[in-house]
Amino acid sequence: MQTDTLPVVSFQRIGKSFPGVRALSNVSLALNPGEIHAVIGENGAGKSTLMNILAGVLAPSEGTLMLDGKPLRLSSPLEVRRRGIAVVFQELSLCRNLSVGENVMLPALAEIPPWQLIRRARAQARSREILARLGMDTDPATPLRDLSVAQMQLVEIARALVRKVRVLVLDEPNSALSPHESEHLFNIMRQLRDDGVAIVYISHHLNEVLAISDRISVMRDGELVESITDLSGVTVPHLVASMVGRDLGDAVPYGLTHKPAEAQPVLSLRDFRVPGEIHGIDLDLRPGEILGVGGLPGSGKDILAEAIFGLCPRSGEVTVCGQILPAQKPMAAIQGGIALIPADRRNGGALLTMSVAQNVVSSTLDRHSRIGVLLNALIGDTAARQIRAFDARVSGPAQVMGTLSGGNQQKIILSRGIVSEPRVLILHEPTRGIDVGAKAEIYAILKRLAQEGLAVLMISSELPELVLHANRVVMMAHGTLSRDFTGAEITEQNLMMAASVQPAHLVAEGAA
Amino acid sequence: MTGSLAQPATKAVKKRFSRFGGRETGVALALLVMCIVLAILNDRFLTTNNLLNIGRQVSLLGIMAVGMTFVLASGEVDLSVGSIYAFCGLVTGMVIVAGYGLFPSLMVGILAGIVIGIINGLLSTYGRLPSLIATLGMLSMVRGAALILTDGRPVTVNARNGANPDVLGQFTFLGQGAIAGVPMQLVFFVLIALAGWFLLARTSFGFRVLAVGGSTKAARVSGISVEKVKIAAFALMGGLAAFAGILSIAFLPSGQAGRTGLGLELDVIAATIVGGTSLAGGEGTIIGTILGVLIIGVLRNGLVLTGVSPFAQEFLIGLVIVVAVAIDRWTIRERRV
Ligand SMILES: Nc1ncnc2c1ncn2[C@@H]1O[C@H](COP(=O)(O)OP(=O)(O)OP(=O)(O)O)[C@@H](O)[C@H]1O
Ligand SMILES: [Mg+2]
Repeated sequence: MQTDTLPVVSFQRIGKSFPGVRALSNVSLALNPGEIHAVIGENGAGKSTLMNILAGVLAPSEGTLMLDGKPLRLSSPLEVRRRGIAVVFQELSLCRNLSVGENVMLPALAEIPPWQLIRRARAQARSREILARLGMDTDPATPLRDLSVAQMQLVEIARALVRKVRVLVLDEPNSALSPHESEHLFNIMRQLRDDGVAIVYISHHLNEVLAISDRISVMRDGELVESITDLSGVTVPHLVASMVGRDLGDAVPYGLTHKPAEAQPVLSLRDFRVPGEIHGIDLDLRPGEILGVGGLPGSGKDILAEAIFGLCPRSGEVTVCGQILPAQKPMAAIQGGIALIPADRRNGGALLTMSVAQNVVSSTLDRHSRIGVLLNALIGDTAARQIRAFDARVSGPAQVMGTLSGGNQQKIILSRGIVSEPRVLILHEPTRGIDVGAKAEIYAILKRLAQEGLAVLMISSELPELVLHANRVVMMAHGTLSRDFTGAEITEQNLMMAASVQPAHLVAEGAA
Repeated sequence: MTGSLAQPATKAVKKRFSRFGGRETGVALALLVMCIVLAILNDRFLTTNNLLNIGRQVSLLGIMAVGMTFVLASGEVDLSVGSIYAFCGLVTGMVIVAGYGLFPSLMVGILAGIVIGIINGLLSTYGRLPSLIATLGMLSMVRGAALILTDGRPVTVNARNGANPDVLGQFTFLGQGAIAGVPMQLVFFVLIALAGWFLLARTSFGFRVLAVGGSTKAARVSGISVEKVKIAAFALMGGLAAFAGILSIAFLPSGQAGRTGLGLELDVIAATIVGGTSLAGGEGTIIGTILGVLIIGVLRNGLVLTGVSPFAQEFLIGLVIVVAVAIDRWTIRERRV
C-alpha cells in the first residue's frame, strides 16, 4: 500500500477457523495513523472476528499481526491495551453492578497496582469529563443498570477514550444511538483522526460510513473484497453491491402499499402506563398493518414492548383479541398470541449457550413435544426450515447460538417469534446491527406476514425504517403518543418534529 | 419467499457439528487413562467384583449428582443435600422402626425431601435469596431438625428396635441386596441416571432447565416460567437426596444425625462439575455427570487398592478435581458466550 506514513497496525494474510466455520481467510489490511478506516460487510462477513484478533481476544489461525512493523505475538487484551490499542466491542461488555463512572474508568483502574490507592474523586471527575465529551450528562455515580442501551453504548465508548490511544476500533458503536448522539461520536472521531489516531469504524449505516471515512474496506465471507481509498464517486449502491456480491436491485427501499383490513383491533392499549416512563397512552393495532413507533431515547418507546409483553410493571388495560391481558404474565401474552423480539440480543433475546435449533423452538416447546418428550426430528425440521427461510449463516441447527454473528442471532430470534404463529408481533429495534441484505429480507418477511393478517408493532429508533416499512407511524415523546401518521405524511421530517415536541404542545395537539 | 434475495450458502454451512459435543470426551478420556493406569498398577482393579464394588460405592453420590445436574444447569446451587440425605434417611428409618410398612415409610422420607427442595426453590425464586444463601441456611436447619428429631442418638433399623421383620427384610434388601449379582444401589443409580438423562436431554422440562440457566430473560421472553422450573429442579434434587439417604440407612442399617452425610454436598457438587456442568448454569449433561462421579469413585477405589494412606487420598482427590476441571476449561472450544 502506498502511503506516506507507515501503518500502525497491519494484518498480514490473517486466517481464522472455528469448528465448522471459516471466519477469515487471507485478510491483509493496514491501519494508518490519522485515518478513519471503515470496515463493512454483511452479517457474518468476519468484521468482528478480525477486530477480536487485533484486540488479543482471539488468536489467528494463520498469518501475522504487525504493530509498528514488528510482529505482535501472544498478545493479551491487557497488553494490547498498553500498546495504545482500544477496542469498543459490538456487544456491550459492562459491569452491571458497578456505577457509570467505575465502568468508564475500569480499564484504567485495573492497571493501578494493588498497593496504590484509588482516588475516587479524581476518577469520578475524569469520567464525568469524558462522558461530557460524548454529550452525556449522566452522574458518574448512577448504577449502570439504570441506563438505557444507548447510554450504555456511550459508556462503552467513553471507556476507550480514558487513555491516549493510537488505534481505536469502533465495532458498530452507534447501533443504539440517536442521530444526535451519533453526531457527537463522529465529531470525536474526526478530532481523534486529526490528532493522528488510526480509527477503525465498523457499521451497517452506509451513508454514515461514506460521510465520515477516509478509506473503506469491504469484507465478504471472510475475505477482503476491496479497499477503497478514493471515495469520490463511490455511492451506497456501489458499496452494497460490493458487500453482497450481487445486485440487490431496488429491493431495498419499498413502501407498504396494501391497506390493513378495517377489522377489529387485535391489540388495544387503554390508559397504558409505566411508572416514570409512559403516562397513559391509547393505541390500537389492527391485523395486516405494520404500525411503527418511534421516539427519542427517554421518550418511553424503549419500555413499551416489554411492558405490553409483561416483563415489567404497568397499569391500564391491554386487550389482545378481545381478551384482557394480566400484567406481568409473559406466558399469558404468548398464549394470547403475542410474540416479542426484544432489542437486546445478548441480555434477553438469545439463549447463547444453547443451539440454534433450541433457540428456534424455545417458545413453542409444547408444539415440539409430546407428553413432555421433545420431538427432536420435528425440532430439527422446524429449525432447518427457519434457517433456510431467513437465510441465516449457520453451520447447522446444532451450532451454539453464542458463536453466531449478531445479525444471524437476530434472524434466529425472529424465527422463534414467527414459529409461535402469533397474532401480534412486537419488534423492538428489529434490525439493529443487521446488514442491508438481511434487513431487506427481514422487511420482506414482515410485509408478507402482515399481508397474511399478522399485526406488527415495530418500535424503532431508525426513522428510515419507520418511513419505508410501516404503513402507520406514531411517535412517542415524554411518555405520550403523537397523532397517527399515514401514507404520504410519513416523512422523516414530520416524524422528527413529532418526536421532539414539548410536552405542553403535545397535550394541546392531542386535545384538538 | 426470500428467494430473490437468497444468498448462496458458504461452504462452511455444509459442515455439520457432531451430535456429541466435545464436552464429555475430555472427562471420558481422563477416566479411561485412570482406569488403564490402575489396571496396570493393581491386578485386582479390573475384576468383576471390584468393578461392582466401585459401582455400589458411587451409587448414592451418583443419584444425588443427577439431581445436582438439574439444579446447577438451572443456574442455582443446593448446599443442603447432605442434610436432606441425613434427615430423610433417618425419618424413614424411624418410621420403619415405629412398625409401619415399607411403602409408607419410603414415601414419608421422599416426600420430606421433596418438600425441603420446594422450600429451597421458593426461597431462591420468589423469596429472592441467592440459592447459595438459602440452601446454606437449609443445610443447617435440616441438619438441626434431624438432631432434634433423634435427640442426637443413632437410629438403628432392626427388629429389636421395633421394626416389622418382613418390612425390615425388604428395607435392607434395598440397601444390601443384589439382583443377579448387581447391588441394588447400583441398579437404582443406573435407573435414575437413565431417567435423568432422558429428562434433561429429551424432555421439554430439561430444555426449560437449560434455558432458564442460560438466560433468565430470554427464557421469560420465550414464555417459560423461570420460578416454576427452578422450584421443580430443587424438588427433584430434594427427592433424590432423600432417596439416596434412605438407601444409605437401608445399607448400614443405621444412621446418626450428627454424622450421616456430613459434607456430602461438596462431593456431589464436585462430581457434577468435574462432569462438565457449568456452575453458571445453562450447561450440563447427565452423561458428563456420570463420568464425573466415576472419576471420583474410581480414584477413591484405586487409591485404597494401591494402599495410599487415607490422608494422601484426600489430598489427591482434591487435586484431581481441580486438574480435571482445569483441563476441561482450558480445552473448551473457543466461544463468545
Ligand atoms: N466463537 C465462534 N465459534 C464459531 N463460529 C464463530 C465464532 N465466532 C464467530 N464465528 C463465525 O464467524 C463468522 C464471522 O463472524 P463475525 O462476528 O466476525 O461477523 P461480523 O462481520 O462481525 O457480523 P455482524 O455484522 O453480524 O456483526 C460467522 O459465521 C460466525 O458464525
Ligand atoms: Mg460483528
